[in-house]
Amino acid sequence: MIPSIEAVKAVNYHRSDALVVATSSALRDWHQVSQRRDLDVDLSDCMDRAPAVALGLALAQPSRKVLVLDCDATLRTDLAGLATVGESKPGNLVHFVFDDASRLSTDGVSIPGLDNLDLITIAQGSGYSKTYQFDSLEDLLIGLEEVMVQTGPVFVLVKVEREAKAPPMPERRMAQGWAEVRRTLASQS
Amino acid sequence: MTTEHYESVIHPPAIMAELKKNKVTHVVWLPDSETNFMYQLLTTEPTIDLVPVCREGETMAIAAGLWVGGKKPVVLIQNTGIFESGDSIRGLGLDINQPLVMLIGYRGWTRHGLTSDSAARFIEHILHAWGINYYLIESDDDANRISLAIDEAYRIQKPVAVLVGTEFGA
Repeated sequence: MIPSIEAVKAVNYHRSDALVVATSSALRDWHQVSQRRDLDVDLSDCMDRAPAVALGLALAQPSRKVLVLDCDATLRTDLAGLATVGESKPGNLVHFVFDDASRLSTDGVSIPGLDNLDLITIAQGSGYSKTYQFDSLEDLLIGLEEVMVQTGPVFVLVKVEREAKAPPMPERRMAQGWAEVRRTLASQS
Repeated sequence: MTTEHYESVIHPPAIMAELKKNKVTHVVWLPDSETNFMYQLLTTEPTIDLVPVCREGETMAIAAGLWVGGKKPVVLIQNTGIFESGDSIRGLGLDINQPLVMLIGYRGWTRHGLTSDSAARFIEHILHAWGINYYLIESDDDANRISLAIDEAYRIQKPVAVLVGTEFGA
């Protein structure tokens, strides 16, 4: 199991100038480590829509990597979204799902069906071109080299454990952050 | 006494002309039988990309990503899908100031007799509740209201709806 903050640090190390769509608990970790908040599309609301937002970004910006930092509980609320991504096949999209074994996002309450879902198999069956699973930090750090050069959509399941006290959500409002990313991209086009 | 003939059909080329005039780049839509003729035409148009979804609530989120990325999408779904999409319209349309134009099939709409379909009875009330303005189109002559909707959405930086109150003709 990988401490969740270490997992996002590993992603950040490999990020380069990728756009990042982070949601829910992954966002709580991510905004603490990101050094390019002008390229971060936060989902502190509508948290189940991270893959869809990222798909739109990936189609709009095909020459730039788009990383989704998703969570098992949020993904489970819209599994059909995997098929939507798989259908459009954005080659520049990498979909990370941080699988929280401690279930801290629900205060330890078991989520119906979640333990029975094989997300890797579902992603493969939905049209993702490549899937990975990482259970150790060392494997993740090494494996991300390969992940980041694959043609997407790539699905990456990362087994994490979270701190008992959840970090805060970013202070930046969603509308403010999205406007900032939009300005950044417009200035670079 | 004369009887006024009102052709209650809209042809996809009339819609397409409006989308092209406004430089729309993507149509994010849920495939269904009602939009078949529109789909056939859109697949032949090189300047507009189709993005199909599995569930209507995804359309607003995908459009949001496209918009942040510098593109100009519209959403094409049925009114039943609007009911399913409430949270996305709120959080990823209204709250982030997305100039989202939603072309909405007005299932159940009729100018005559009782409106028995609850999808038709509720849709305008729902749009009113969100404060989303809308335009009704029922024939090719109404198609220029799509331009009004797009202009308005970008002027106020909020979602605007176009209710398609008739079937797409061949």
